[in-house]
Amino acid sequence: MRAASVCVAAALLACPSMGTAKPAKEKKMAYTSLDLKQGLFRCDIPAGWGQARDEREEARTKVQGVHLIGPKEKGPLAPTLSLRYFASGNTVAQTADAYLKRQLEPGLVPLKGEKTSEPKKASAAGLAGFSFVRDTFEFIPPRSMDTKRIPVREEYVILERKEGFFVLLFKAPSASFKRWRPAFQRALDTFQPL
Amino acid sequence: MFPDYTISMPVPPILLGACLALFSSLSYGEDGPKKPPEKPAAEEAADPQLAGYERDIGTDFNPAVAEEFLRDTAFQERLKKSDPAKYQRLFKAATEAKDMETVLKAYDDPSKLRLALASHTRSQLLSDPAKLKEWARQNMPGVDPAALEEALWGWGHLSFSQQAYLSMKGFDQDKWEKMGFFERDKLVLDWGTGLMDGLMQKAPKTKAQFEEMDKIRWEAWGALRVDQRRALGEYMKKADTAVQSIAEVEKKLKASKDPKLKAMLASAKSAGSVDATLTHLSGIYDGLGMTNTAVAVNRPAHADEQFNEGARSALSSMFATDFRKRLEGTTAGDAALAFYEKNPLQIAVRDIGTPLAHYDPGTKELVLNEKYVRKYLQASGKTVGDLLTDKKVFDGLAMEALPTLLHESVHQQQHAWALQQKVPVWFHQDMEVEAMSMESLFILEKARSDPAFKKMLDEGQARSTLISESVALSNSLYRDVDAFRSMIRADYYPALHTLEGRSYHDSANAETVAGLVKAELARRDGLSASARRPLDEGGSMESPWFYNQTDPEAYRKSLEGINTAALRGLLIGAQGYGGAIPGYYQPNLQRRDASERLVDKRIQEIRGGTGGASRLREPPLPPGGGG
Repeated sequence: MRAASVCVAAALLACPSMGTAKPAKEKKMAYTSLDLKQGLFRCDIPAGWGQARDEREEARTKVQGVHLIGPKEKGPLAPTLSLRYFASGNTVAQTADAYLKRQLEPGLVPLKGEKTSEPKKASAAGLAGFSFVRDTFEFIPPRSMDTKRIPVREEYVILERKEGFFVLLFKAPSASFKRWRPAFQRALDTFQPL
Repeated sequence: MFPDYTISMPVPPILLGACLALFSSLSYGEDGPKKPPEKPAAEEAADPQLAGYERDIGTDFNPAVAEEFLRDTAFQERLKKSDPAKYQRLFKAATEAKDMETVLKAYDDPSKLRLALASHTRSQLLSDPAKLKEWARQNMPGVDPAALEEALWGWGHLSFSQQAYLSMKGFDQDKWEKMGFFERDKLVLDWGTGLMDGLMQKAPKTKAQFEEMDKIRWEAWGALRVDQRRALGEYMKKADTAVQSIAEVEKKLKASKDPKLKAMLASAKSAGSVDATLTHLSGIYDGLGMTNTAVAVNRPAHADEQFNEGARSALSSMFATDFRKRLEGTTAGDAALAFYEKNPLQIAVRDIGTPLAHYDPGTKELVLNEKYVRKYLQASGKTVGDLLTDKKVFDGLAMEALPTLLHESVHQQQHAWALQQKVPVWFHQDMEVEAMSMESLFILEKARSDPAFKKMLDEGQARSTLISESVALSNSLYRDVDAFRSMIRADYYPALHTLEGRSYHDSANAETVAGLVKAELARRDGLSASARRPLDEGGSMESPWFYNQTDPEAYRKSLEGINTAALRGLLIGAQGYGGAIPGYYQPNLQRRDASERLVDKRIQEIRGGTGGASRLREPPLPPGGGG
């Protein structure tokens, strides 16, 4: 019995990719409802994605919400979904316009290859706002003489409300952006301010 | 960064030396220094603040209360006077709780969180994975239990090949669940290291071969340490370059009738190593009269691209003169200039492994990795001779290396500041967050004021991923300072302790040293005079320290050969150091706060007031030491 299990193990070692879990196809993706009283919204999110919040930091920054991380595919990066409410008086940007302006600025030195689309009008749950897409890069491993530039795409939807604003951000490696994008669409379609 | 060895200097030699000099005039019994009398129970009960802290921090490790306690210096002073032992216990528990909170909230990616946890060798919370999970559930409901379980190498989160490897080693789920995190981590690290070693023997020639390697790389990635990831990244970049260039050269030589070039291509395709493949490919491009920058940068260096001592020394002098000229007019640059009015500026170029650069506190040099300079030369088709004689070539390098040298200068200033404050130089994550923030702020400010620098950033991105990364970082700082800091912790320095983690680990190490030395002294008291004499009169005079190991047994054994008087000195040193840690923590905390305020303020100014509500408007960062 032992010899047999060693044999199987050796075979698996020789082909490590057999062990990696395949990401669920969108059509099979399951969703669960997220009800975030502190972030003042409700929406559907992919079931099984990791969730992270930091309530003490939220109290300091007045930016409330949740950060979701999906499964990794062939590489070190996973798709992420960030759903945040920027309350009035937050430490990041006073208004939705200021937030949008800062994001759209090319930076004092534009990052070569980074492309930010023109903002388009957007809306969700009766709230008006803007959306834009940015194609940029992650650097892996960081601060190394042989860093690899991995293309990633970010899609922002910024929604204004009477006080404060929401920022819904979906980010994924460019190679798998389309595969996971429906998860973002579902969050947008089901988004409800509380 | 600081070189690694500074990590292993928790006790300032001056302090240990002073303690060793003192030990002969003091004598302690087996229990060490006499403790002050405990407060009467009634008095203690009458101090509701203390009772609250003892419950919330001492028992529950509540991070919010721990932070409140760490900033409540008035209460700390009171407790330190009335009950130093209790104060130390509470302080240690508070730093552990606050540190673990920072760690768990900084990492949404389990593979990065794991790197942070792996350095927490003295953590009580981490000693039992179940205990940490329960603590997180109670104190940090925002932390995803599944992500934490994955970071802790939960069996269900292991890949098939990892499980297979462990099965082969005799482990199953039952055994695994009973094991501690460090034991699990070591085994999976061995697995990942095996895969990495295998990959670094391969010399792929086709896209399919490279893609197969790439799959294995990313599977092993989460199990590897930071230095391993860098080394593997370097190897894979070379392999990728070789494969892409073979394909390109094959197309170019299809119609060629040059037998020499065709033979070189055959040699490249049959070479047994990536370096040899790249050397052949480089020769082919030369033969074609073409430049392939990727091949030029990644192939082994030619003789005229190598440094000798004379060239190193000449380049160091050129850098030291040049560096000052480029700093003026920026926040970090002006601080560095003020610092170098009273402190020596020395820049060295030498091979230091995988880091780009570091500050060497032993020689007080900012050290730039020679490999980095070689890559610059190879990318631009220049030689060491060109670098030393052609101002344009040197200026290009000096400009490109400027933010990196500035970063190391911040470390030099931190070092001098610690000496001036009479606190040990603690190399912790917050020091790196400060240095990275100042570097990125410097890039933003310099790009605004110096068109030549901005041009270098614009144009250099085409040939250097490092320049692209620096630009991306400065843009990230500009867009969201808090997000930038979280990214630096999680992506750049996950394996370094936070300030609180450093305090906690040093406290725990000092306790371990004191406890084991006391036990060894007690054992010697029980020996016969003849057995004891060689230890009292001979033995090693060294004072070994306990450096974050997971198992104290080897350290305990090392004490058996130490001279008895040296052991007593070590005991005093350990007790003195452990007791002094809160006093070392506070100035570091103030420096961190001041650094954050300064960067926040400058970024707000650069944005022109479009930022959020400020938590700032405080005095600037204290300057570095004057000697």
